[in-house]
Amino acid sequence: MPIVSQFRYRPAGASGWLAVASPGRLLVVHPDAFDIAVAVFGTGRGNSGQGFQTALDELTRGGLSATPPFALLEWLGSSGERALRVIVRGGVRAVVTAGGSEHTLDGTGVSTWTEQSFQQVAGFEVVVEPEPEPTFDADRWLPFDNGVVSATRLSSTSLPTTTEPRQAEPVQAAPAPAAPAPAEPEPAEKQPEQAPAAPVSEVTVSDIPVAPEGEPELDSNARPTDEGYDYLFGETMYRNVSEAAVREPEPDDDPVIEPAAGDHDGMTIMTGDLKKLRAGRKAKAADAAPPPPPAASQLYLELSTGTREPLSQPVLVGRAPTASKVSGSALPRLVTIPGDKDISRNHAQFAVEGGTVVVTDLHSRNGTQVIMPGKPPQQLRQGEPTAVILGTVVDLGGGVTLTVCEES
Amino acid sequence: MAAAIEHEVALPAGVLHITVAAASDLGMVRKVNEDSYLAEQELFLVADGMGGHSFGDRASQSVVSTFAAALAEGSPLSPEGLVRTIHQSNQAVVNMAEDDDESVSGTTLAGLALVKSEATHHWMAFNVGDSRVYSWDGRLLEQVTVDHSAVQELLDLGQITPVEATEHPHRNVVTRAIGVGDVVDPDIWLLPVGGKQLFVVCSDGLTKELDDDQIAVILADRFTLPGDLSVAERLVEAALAAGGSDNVTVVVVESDFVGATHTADEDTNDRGVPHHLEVTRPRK
Repeated sequence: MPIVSQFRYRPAGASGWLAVASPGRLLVVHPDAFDIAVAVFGTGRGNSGQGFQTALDELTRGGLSATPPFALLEWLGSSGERALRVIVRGGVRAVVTAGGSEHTLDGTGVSTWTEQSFQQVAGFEVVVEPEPEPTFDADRWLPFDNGVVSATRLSSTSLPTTTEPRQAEPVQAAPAPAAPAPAEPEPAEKQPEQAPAAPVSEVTVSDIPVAPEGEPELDSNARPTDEGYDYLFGETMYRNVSEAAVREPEPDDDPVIEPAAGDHDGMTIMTGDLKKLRAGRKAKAADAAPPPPPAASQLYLELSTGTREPLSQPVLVGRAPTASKVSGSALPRLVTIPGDKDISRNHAQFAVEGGTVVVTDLHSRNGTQVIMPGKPPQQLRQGEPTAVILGTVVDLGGGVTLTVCEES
Repeated sequence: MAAAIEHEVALPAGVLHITVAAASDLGMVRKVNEDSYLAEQELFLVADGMGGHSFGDRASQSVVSTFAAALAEGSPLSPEGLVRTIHQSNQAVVNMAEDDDESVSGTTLAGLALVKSEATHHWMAFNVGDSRVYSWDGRLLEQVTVDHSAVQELLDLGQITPVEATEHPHRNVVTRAIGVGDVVDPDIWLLPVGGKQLFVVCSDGLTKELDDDQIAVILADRFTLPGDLSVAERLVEAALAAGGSDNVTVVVVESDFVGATHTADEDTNDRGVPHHLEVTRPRK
């Protein structure tokens, strides 16, 4: 059995409903709710746990009266349970084959929506009422795994009608596609635990071998369609394939520097799409540049001489302090303790990290002691950042101490 | 070319004599000199522009003029102030790029400045890209700055050796530059001031032609140069003789601190401190 995607659909033109598929979940929504479909697709990928709830939230965002007609289906639990939750609202109905019989859930005539869960589900079909004009005259179905398409009908790929003659009395007869349906490339972010149930067929999504010619075949099927359909098909399928299989480089990614081959003339070069880089950096800059945490500006060190050193930036204390390769954004203040030869040139560094004062002994010759309130003095390990609390006295030796304080 | 310029700076504990020599050359291959430099008062920097349509030289000139304007304001140089100026110069170059978006453009920057922070003075070295600051203690040439370049990253990862780095096909790729993004991240060093010190600020046109030993030999022999030739000119000359495949720019800063011996210097040699963590020597 060549059908390996989790859903299949009868393509429709511009009047078709928008079907949004993600692993284990299918949303079919009225074409007027174009934005919702796109938003659900954006939020539904990857986080399967809240996907159903997120989709509902998105659908009902404008209140119940503004909620478009839709059908939302989700496989529950493990694939062995074959449990399916179905919600329909408005002119759409879902026919679920479960426990040997067919159940129809109709959204028409209900002011809110109709919800039901099914166990031992063999398959389902979603039918839009009134049925939009299908793209193909013949009853042709296309595989559908993950993405957004325009459709008149959808079903699970393992409808009993195609595999078990016994159940062939179909209300919505779904004969096998004229040609073996090509498989879509398996989406990169598909998560194994949510492999949707394919209740009758043994083929589940997680087993899918990627059919190499899948995509071209799909395209050739799609070409003889009308313009409205092409528009939707082209746009949505591109998104699906590109995002699922070949992730677009994100503009926020750090620049990947690709050197020009064979440039040996000593010319210093930077390559890459500078425009994109600039745009990305600009966006980043807008996001970044948070003001320093207010706590940092209120913390200060009180030296034994009585001077106060604010901890608004790292403070490096020593007899003749120096700084080596620090970022321009984390410039330390160099606090000189003159004259005392017990103190090393770079003796200790103080910084505020996450609201906590961290002191580091910079491999000083004579070491650093910290005395936390109510505790015995403790020798700092060299080079090891140590968090200290307010009131801690840091003893550099030679009678030089610094006390960690906070402006009240 | 101008010979060395000398001046004196009064510090709290004494007087610092500063001698500066600078030189820049097109090189033997390139048609435009995209390097710019500044050597005024106690601020010395080299910018190596890159990008077509004469963008590179305009970018590096823009950086130099931004710093010159900051100097002209007359306020004493501070680490924070210089970092601000670096960001300003970045913005200036980014703004230049608006009408020339498609080209690869920007400039490196390496610099040295005498800065006052709290009550004490330091030499502040800074860089963005692969222009460098070296220090010379009379015996040993030490690279102060660390390049922002692809080969430096490979070196840090231990994937290539320093020898391989000189021949690596990616050796011209910088990973940070002025004018590429709205945010620039310079690296900063704050070094002690004291005794006799010598710094070299240069573009990669020097360091890709001469290795550290060759530079060190020229620095060691600087007192034997003919009277009208500065040590900076001598270094540029040597780089041209070695091929001169890129623009070459060199600023050599010599300083001599004369005054009360700082207690900080008592138990150390007075040639500066090579490393951050090796600062205190045994007293006995």
